[in-house]
Amino acid sequence: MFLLSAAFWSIVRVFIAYCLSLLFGILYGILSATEPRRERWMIPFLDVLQSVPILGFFPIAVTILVVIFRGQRIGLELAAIFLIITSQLWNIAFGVYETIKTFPKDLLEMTRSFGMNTTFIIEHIYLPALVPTIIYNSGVSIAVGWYFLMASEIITLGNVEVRLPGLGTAMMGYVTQGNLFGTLSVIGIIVLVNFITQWFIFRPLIEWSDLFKFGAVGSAPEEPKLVTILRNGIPWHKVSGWINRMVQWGGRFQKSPVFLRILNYLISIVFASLFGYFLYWMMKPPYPHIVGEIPKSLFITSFRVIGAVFLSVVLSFPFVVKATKTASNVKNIYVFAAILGSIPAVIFYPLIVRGLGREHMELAAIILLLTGSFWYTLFNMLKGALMLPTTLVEMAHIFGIHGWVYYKTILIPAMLPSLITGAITAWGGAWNTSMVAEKVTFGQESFSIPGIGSLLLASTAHAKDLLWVVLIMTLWIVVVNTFFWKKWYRYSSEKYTFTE
Amino acid sequence: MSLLALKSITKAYIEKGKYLPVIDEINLTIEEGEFVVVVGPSGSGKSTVIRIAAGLVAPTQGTILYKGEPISSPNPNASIVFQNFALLPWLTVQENIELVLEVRNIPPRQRIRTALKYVDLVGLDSFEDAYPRELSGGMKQRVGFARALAVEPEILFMDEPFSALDILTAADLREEFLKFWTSGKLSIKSIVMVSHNIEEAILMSDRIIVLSSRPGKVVGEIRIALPRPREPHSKEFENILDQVYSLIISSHISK
Repeated sequence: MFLLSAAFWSIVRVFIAYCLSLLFGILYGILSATEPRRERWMIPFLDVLQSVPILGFFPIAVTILVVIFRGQRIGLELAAIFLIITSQLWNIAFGVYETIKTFPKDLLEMTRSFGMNTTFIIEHIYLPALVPTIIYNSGVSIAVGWYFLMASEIITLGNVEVRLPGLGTAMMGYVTQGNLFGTLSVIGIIVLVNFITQWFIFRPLIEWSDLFKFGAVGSAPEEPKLVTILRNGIPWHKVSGWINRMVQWGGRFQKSPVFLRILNYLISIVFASLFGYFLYWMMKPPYPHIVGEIPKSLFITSFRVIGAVFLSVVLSFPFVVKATKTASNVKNIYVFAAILGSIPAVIFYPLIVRGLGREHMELAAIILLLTGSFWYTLFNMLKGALMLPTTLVEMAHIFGIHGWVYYKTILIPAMLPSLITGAITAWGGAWNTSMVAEKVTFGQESFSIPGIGSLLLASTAHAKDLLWVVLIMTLWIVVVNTFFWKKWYRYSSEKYTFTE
Repeated sequence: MSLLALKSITKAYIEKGKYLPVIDEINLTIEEGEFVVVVGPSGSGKSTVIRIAAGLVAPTQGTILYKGEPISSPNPNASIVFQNFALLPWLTVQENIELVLEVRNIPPRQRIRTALKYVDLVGLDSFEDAYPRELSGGMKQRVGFARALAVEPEILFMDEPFSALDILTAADLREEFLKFWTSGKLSIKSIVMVSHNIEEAILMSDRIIVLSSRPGKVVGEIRIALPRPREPHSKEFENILDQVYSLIISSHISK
C-alpha cells in the first residue's frame, strides 16, 4: 500500500541518519575530551553549531546537493539525511564529552596502575561508561530526527521539482486534497511508530543502562535480548582499536611542530582567500533588494520566538509544581511527556493551518512555535525539580513554607539553571519551527505571515538572497546565544547550584 | 639493595602563577619483607607519595628506584588497593578481577581459575556473580584486595584502604589481612600503606614514617619490633603512640 512504502522510506532515512550521528557523535566526543588542545577549539565550535537553526540551512544544503547531483533524487535524500544528522549529532557528542570529562578519577588511576593501554581502556572502560548517555540521548535524538524529517518533507522550496516519498510528503498531499482520512492515517502511523520505538526499544534500554551508573545501589537490572544480540554481534575489539587509531592520529600531528605550523599557515591562507572571495561576491552590487527586508523580518520573528519561550515556561510551571508534590507524579509526567514529545508536532501544522484558515495564521504560528518549544522547557524544568534535594522539601514542609513564598524563595531559584537550559533549547526549537511555521504551501495556494522564516523560503530561488538571509539570521542567533543566554546560564549555575 | 627507593622526591603544582609544593624532598627506602605505613595529617601529600612510588604520577624532581632501576611509568610489579574501591559497576566481582588479568594476556580459562581462587581467598565465594552495587563496603574492599592480589605483585600499595569502612568492618578486614601477611603465603615482598589512623599504623606496620603537612616532609621514622597480633592497650603500644604524637606535634610547633 502507498502509505506503507512512504512509512518505509521515512523510517529508513531516520535510521541511517541516526547510525551516522551515533558514529560521528561518539568520535567527536571522545576526540574532544581526551586532549586539552583539541578540546579548546572543538567544544566552542560544537557550541556555535548547536545554536545554528538547522532548518535555516536546509534550503542551502538542498540547493548545493541538488546542483551536485543534477536534480536527481539522491541529492534530496542526502540533504534530508544531512539535516537529520545535524539535529542529532550535537546532543550525542556533548553527552559523550561530559561523561568522559567527569569520569571518576580514581577509576582512571586504577586502570593505569594495572597497566591498561588506550585501546583496552576504550573497549572495557569508556565504551561501557558511555552506555547511559548514548541510550538516553538516542531516545531524544530519534524523536528529534523524526521532527526534522517531517519538517524537511513539508517544506517546499522554490526551485525543486522532486519531492521525496515519505510520510510528510504523503500528508501534505492529503491535506491539499482535503482527504481527512488520509491525513489522520499518516498522523496515526507516525504516532504508532514513535510509540513502539520509545516504549519497546528505549524504555527497556534505559532501565538496563542503570547498570553502568556510578554509585548506584541495589539489585542489577537484567540484560534485554536486544543488548545480547548487539554485544555478541559487533566486534568491539576492532571498534575500539579503530577509535584508538583516530585518537592517536590526531595526536601524531601535534608531535612535529614544523609540519604543523606550515599546515596551519596553508590552511589559514586557503580559508582566508576563500572567505575574502565569498565576502566580495556577497557585497558586490547589485544588492539583492531582499536585504532591506531582513531587519524587519528578523525583529518580527524574534518577537514571536520570545513570546513562545515565555509562554512555554509559564505553561510548564503548573506541571512542575504538580510533579514536585509526589515522586511518583514526576515519573508519570515524564513518561507521558516523553511519548507525546516524540510525536513530531510539525505534522499537525498543515492540518491546523488549513482548519483555521488564512486569517488565523498568526495564531496557528504561535501554536506551532509552542509545540516546538514547550517540550524543551517542560523536560528541563522537570529535571530541575527532580534534582531538588528532598531534605530541602522536607525543611520547607516542617517550617510551613507554602505557596508563593515557597515558589519564589525555594522552587524557582533551585530550578533556575535547568529553567534557563530549557529556555535556551526552547529558543533554538522555536527558531527552527519558525522556518516551517511562517509559510506553508499546499499545491498552488500558500499561506504566509511576515517573518524571517517566510522570507527565507521566499528567497530560495536566488542563491545570493538565500545566503544573505541565512547568514544574518544565524549571526543574530549566535550573538544572542553567546552574549545573553550563556551569561544568564553562567550566573544562575554559579549562584544557584547545590554544593556541600 | 632495597626493593624501593625514593630519592629527593618533590612534587609541586603551579596555580595562578604560584609555586605550590605538595611534598618536598622526600627520601624513603623500603626493604624486602617490610610493612611500612606512612602517616600524616590531611594536606601532607601522603596519597601523592604513594602514587609517585607506584609510578602513576611523575615527580617534579627526584628519582624512584625499584630494585635499583629507575621507574618512570606504572610499575608492573606493583598493585594498588584504593580507598574508594575503584570497582567497575557494570562488571561482577569475578569479572572485575578477570579484567586486570586480561590486561596481562592471561588466557581465558586461567583467568577464571585465578579469579575464583582469589574470590575464595578473601571470603567472597558464592558472591562471584554479584555486582558491586549489591555489596556492602567491606565486601567491595575485599574485591579490591582480591583484584590487587590476583596479579601477584611484588610490592603492594594501599591508599587508606580501611578509611571508607565503618569501624567494625574495618577492624575485621584489618585482622584478616594481617593474618595473611604474617602467614607468609602471599607473593608480596613488601607493603606500603598510607593512613591517617595512627592506631591502625601501629597495629599493622614494621615501620612508621611520619609526614608533616603543607608541604609534606619526613619528620621521623619509628620502628616497631613488637610481635603480631599486637595488643592496643599494652604499655609498649601506648609508648609508641606517644612517640608518634610527639613527632607530629613537634613538627607543628617548629612551623
